[in-house]
Amino acid sequence: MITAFMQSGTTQFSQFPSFLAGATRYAKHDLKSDAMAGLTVAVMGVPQAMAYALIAGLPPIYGLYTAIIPAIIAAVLGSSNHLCTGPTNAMCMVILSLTATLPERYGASALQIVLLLTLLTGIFQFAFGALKLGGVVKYVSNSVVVGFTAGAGILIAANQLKGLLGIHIPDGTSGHFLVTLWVALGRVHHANPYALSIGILTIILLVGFRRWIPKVPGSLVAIVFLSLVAWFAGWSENAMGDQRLRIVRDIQPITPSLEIFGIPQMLLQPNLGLFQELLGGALALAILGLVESTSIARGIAASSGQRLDFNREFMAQGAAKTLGSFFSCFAASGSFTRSAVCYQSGGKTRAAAAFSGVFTAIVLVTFGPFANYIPLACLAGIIMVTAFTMIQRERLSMTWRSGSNSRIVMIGTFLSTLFMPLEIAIFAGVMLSIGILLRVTGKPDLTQLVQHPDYGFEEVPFNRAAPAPVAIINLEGDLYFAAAEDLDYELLQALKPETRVVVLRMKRLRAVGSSAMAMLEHFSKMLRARGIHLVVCGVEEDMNRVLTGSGVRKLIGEQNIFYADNRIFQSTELALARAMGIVEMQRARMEAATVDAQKLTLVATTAADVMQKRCLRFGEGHQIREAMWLVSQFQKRMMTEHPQTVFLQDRDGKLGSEVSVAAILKHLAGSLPEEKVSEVDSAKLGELVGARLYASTDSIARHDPVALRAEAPLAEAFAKAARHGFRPMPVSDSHGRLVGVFDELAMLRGLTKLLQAAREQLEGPPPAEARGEQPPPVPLT
Amino acid sequence: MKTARELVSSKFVRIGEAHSTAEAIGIIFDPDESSLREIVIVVLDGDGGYTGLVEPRNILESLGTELSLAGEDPSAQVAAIRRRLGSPVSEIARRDVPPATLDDNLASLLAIAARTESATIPVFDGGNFVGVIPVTSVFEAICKITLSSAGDELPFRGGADAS
Repeated sequence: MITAFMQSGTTQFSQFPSFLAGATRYAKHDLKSDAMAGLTVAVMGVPQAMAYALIAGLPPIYGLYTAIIPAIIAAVLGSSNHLCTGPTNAMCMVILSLTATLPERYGASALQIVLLLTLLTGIFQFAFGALKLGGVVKYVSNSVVVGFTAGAGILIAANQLKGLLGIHIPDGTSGHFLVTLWVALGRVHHANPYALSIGILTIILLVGFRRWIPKVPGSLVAIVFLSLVAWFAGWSENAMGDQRLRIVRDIQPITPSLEIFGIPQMLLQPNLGLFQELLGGALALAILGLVESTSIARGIAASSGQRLDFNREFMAQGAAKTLGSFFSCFAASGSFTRSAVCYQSGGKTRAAAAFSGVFTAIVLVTFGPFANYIPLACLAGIIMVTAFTMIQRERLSMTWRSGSNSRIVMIGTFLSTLFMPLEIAIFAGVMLSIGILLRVTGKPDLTQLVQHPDYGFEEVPFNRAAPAPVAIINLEGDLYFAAAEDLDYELLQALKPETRVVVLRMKRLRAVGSSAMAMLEHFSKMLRARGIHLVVCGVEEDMNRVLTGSGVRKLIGEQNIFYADNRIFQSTELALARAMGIVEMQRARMEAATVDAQKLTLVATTAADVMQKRCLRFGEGHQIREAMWLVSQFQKRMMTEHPQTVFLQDRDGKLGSEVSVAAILKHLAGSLPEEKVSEVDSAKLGELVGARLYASTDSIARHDPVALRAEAPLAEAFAKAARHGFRPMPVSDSHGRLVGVFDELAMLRGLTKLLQAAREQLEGPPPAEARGEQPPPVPLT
Repeated sequence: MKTARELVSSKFVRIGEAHSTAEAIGIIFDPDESSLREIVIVVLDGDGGYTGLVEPRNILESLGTELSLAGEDPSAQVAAIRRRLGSPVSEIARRDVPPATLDDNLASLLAIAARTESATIPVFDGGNFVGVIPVTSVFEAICKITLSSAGDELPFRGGADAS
């Protein structure tokens, strides 16, 4: 695995030199646009970065660091042209949730714990990318993301109440939604009026700018303006006493320096207990960060048309956090607002996001000391507005309308976010999604097919097809162990008293395993116990393999299995034909069983007793067309498709010769050209054969027909028939006049009687079943 | 132009190769009516592919041959017939019937019908079996184009009887 990890990583980053190779060409085209986009993002992002650091429970300066280093690293190594990496509210909220109580328990600073968490998170994300596990994010559904984001928004807002009100809340209550809210609301009467004014003004300015002047970064204007107001008014002076307005400097002064490199202290002084405690949270944070980043990158790529490499993006995000932890940066992620601004400001390449980091660094060095005078209430106001934008009404509404399953997952995740540790809330949402998925797929789709004479098969709801001897059940979807449970009993519901054969169409069945085979075996046995046949069709390669391996194929019988074909419903048609054959055979068997025994005792011994009296007689010397007309009329009136033979008699009624349909067709076919028969159309055919119609029947008649005497014993009749290929033979009386025909039906009747006589002579039992599976029906036995 | 497409019939029953001759007789012979059902039996292999046709004559040939080989001894006769009834239907299926395709015209069908002694022509489409054409249907189609001028009241120069 480690080798694969290394190889994969090498392959992924082998593409990075292309970044440098294109640099020269890049400078001419995109430098200006990227620089402008980067500047816009930095101006908009600096206040956000400081505010988000507060959410994570860290001094604002670390938000600025996180907006510099990870932004540059992720931009250089990533694949999205517009994804801007930096502090995000959801990630900061989870960081706070994971680390709030740890400093007290482990005696380490919050910053050092957060840096260790960031390092672990980065390693997880890098591993996901290197091992090409990008698919892991697909298990976090949209409903989970929407529910989690909305819940996190409320948590963030609740946590910032203290900053907005300018009150102090004891440590240990952060992250517990109800406690935080309860404590904050309980201290409203202690609110600092200056802090509250600054906070509310910040909110008004932000909302106002966003609504009426969206192109101007409202947060920056609010910070500059209100900081100046507070400074000129002296609200942050110590002289204000209890009413003093708290500013950034009160948490930790911002120094205009970039000397921020340092190995995280928790690596130098490792604490196994802390490490173990952070591991699960780091995994949750890694997944959240990846979900956030990929969904943002994917959303913008949908507009820009860029094709993304998610595994590379994962590695870039992981590298940004891992390396960032050595530069005092907490876990960053793709920021939706900054990425959207980058794209809308004309950013063309990944350099735009990198420029945002560079410009943030310049802002830090140049204006850092001034940031010390920003009121914390101002940052709280900014966070409040951001928190409420996380409650995306449109996405919530869309998810709500997308069915009960989406609703359950969204509400479940939302409530988990509010009342459980955040890292668990994400997993709870994912588990809820998977649970519902299993519930949904735990039941394959069952429908029934009904054959329609005009347009093939019609699909009707299960158990809604009209009663018929053949029930065609269409089984689709997953057939894993949970889905196979009790399916056999459910299938039985399709049976009606008329049902003789069940055709089970199994095309597009997935996840078929031993449980499904056990179910099929049991179903087959239950059908057999009811005297009903099972035919399966639509069997694809995988299913065939499982059927064979499990032995169920042998149980069902090869003749009852029809394999899927490219042509839709072909195997179903074949299976249906097989089913109809079975029905027909069963009917014949039942009829055979009810034959009056008395009939069989009337054993005839001569040809006259079994012959067909109805036959075609005709005079000699007629034209072929007349014989054709006679045969045609006979066939129409008798509604038969059996080829007839015309027996020709002389004037005394004596049998002289015979003309069969086969002989007529041979005669007519003689008029066809030897080649290019396919080009002879009906008109031409009429002309060609027309000339032959007027020939005499004598020219094609068989003049020495093998005739049977009416009184000839059956044994003699069969011996004669065998010598002449079992063709229909005329039966004549003692004067040579035609009295009937010993045709195929007569022969079958004769055979029945012969065997009956033989059995009676032997007094033996009825013959045993010809095949173990299906008893022979036959009238002959 | 009439083609096989217009004449092809679905009046047949498909059974597997493993089915017995007895079952084929059960399909064809109607003991109650003492008549033959005008159904063609199409024998399919394990993959559902066409193997051959079974007509009453094929069954009679096999049974009659067994019977004649058994001689006069009733027990031998019964045993022979039992053996034949229990044997797979594929043994008596006709595999040599020349096939037609859906696009074959009437002239081609006439040529095929003239070459075979079978009462049925199997029809294929792109290698897939799709149905059968009774030889009598070809005969009827030719009657239609050649006897149309005479109509149903073709004057005879002699007598005819279909008693």
